[in-house]
Amino acid sequence: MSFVGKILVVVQLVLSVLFMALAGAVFAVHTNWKTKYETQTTALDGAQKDVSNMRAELDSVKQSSQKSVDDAKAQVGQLSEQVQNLTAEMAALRKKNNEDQLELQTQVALAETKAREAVFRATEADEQRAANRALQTALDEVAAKLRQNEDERVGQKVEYENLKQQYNTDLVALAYLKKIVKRHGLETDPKIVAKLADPPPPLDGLVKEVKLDRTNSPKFVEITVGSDDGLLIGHELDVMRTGVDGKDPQYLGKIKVVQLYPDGAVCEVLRDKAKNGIIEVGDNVTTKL
Amino acid sequence: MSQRNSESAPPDIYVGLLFVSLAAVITGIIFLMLELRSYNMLFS
Repeated sequence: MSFVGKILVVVQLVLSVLFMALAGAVFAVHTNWKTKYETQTTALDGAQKDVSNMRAELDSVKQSSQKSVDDAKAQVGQLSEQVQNLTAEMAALRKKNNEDQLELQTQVALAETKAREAVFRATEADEQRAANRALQTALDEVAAKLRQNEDERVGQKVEYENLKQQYNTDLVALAYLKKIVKRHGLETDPKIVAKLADPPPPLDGLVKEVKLDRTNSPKFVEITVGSDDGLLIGHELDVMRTGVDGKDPQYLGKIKVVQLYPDGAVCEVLRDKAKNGIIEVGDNVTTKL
Repeated sequence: MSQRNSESAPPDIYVGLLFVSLAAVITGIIFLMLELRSYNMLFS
């Protein structure tokens, strides 16, 4: 064998060993790609199925979401309208709130004033209660006195009734007695009767006016002296005319006082005591005769 | 050269190496066939 043949044999040997080693390594550390492929294919089918389910679910979710979005839009519209209404209402309420706030401040100020007034009134009420108690005490005393006076009044009323009855009885008796007295031509007034016992005071006066009767003779005369001079009804005065122009004094008669004034009197002419002549204005009257 | 090898020469070390290389090639081929078998690409 030549040298080249030997080298080729060695090279062939080396290459054969390398081939065997490479084939052995491939066999030893190989991966079964087919099995892996089937596994991955199965996994892919499952994943595609999942994808389909997920897509269906996604469509459903999309539809429901769209519906929700539509509902939400409609609700947003309603809410927007409601918000506008509420905004307007809020503005009105704010305005009313401001007015109420002002009213509240006014009422608070008024309430404070009323509270001060109430304190003042309470103090005044206490004072009034004290005064009321004092007045009540006085009222009780007055009521007691009033009851006592009422009792006295009732007693006096009974007494008054008795006296009235006695008075009526006495009036009847007095009328009867007056009738008897008048029938005898006597004065019935006790005062006049009492004073008639005294003579008239000395005084002089004049005839101021004469009233004539149907026969043209004097019936009543008015004189210039009256009660201030001490005259009383029933007093009798003499009438006379002093002598003038050479004439003699003349006695004209008597007159009787029937009506009396402070500075004058009306007298009736006593016919049965009229003597000479007719009484005229300016004649003298006197009680000194 | 063929004239010189026409005579039967006694086997030497190189012939043994050739057999060894033949055995290695056969072993490698077996390994590759087993590999192909796992993919059903052999005798299928």
